[in-house]
Amino acid sequence: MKKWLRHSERAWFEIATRIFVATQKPYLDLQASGLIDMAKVRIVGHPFDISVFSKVERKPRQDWVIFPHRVDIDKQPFEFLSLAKLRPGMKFIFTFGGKGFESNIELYEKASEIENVICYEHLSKKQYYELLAQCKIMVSTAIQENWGVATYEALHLGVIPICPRSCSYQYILPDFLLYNTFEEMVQLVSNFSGGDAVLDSYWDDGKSAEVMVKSMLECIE
Amino acid sequence: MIHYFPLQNLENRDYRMFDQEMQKAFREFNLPFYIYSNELTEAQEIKSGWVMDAVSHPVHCIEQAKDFLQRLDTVKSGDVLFFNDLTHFGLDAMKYAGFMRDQGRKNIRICSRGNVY
Repeated sequence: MKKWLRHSERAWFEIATRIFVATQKPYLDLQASGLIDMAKVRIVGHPFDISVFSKVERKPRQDWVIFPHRVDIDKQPFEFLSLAKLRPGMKFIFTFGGKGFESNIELYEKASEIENVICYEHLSKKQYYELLAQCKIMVSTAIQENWGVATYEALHLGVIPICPRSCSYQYILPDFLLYNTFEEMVQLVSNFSGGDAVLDSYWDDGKSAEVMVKSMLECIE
Repeated sequence: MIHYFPLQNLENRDYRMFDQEMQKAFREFNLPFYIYSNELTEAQEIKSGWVMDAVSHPVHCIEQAKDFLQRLDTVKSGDVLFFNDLTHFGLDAMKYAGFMRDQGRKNIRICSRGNVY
């Protein structure tokens, strides 16, 4: 992190009375930074309206693998392309969210050269959830992820998330869904594809906003 | 009173859902709140940068800070400033103004979700 930004963060931390984080990952990062009085920090989970997932139109699930992130450098989309090349019998999906292909021309051009990679652009959140619910596996290649929102979305829609053993993932997923190396990721995708594997329904109750407000009220009293 | 500073109202980030959940929670606890500038304009769309737009995010923060500073006299002891993200390029201006206007003697709390990046 740049020095000036570190100083800015120090000021923001100093000003704040209470800071909410979703998982242990940002909590431990804050602790390691030495910039903040950790008594101010509370782990509260994600604010989710989980009712949206029950409204998602379900189509038959396919043996598809989806990249759940915006296609930016900290999410390493080219690693996902490398995975697709190794599994030509499977379909791999990129979505460009509210952005179009123009947001990452280089990635789009390379993805277009691989037959089993499909790119969707300008998807609304509703369309993305419908597509996600059709997929079997979600693969994250992110090197920066403090919240894991995409992982929660996948879990709520019955998609198997395969993620690095780092970032927030190590605190929100069971060990058997985590990998250390590219080769382990490829193996996990192979293990979960083709069969009928499903995860038990899960997890976060989506009450994070209420937890935050309760905690906020505590610090007023 | 909660002085509430949401992130940009973008559907394809989790910001919009987060905003809706926070407003729902404020209502459930019967807490009055004032929302500072969360209108979605084209300028707020993410066109460059990794997580938030390199230009429109600071603009969004500065607009919220301007709105707050113009309402500074309405801030009372016991009020809370709640930010949906701590990376707020206007927070120091608000703190400065409050301090210089003697808000420091009032019991004002600042709560925030941690940085999204």
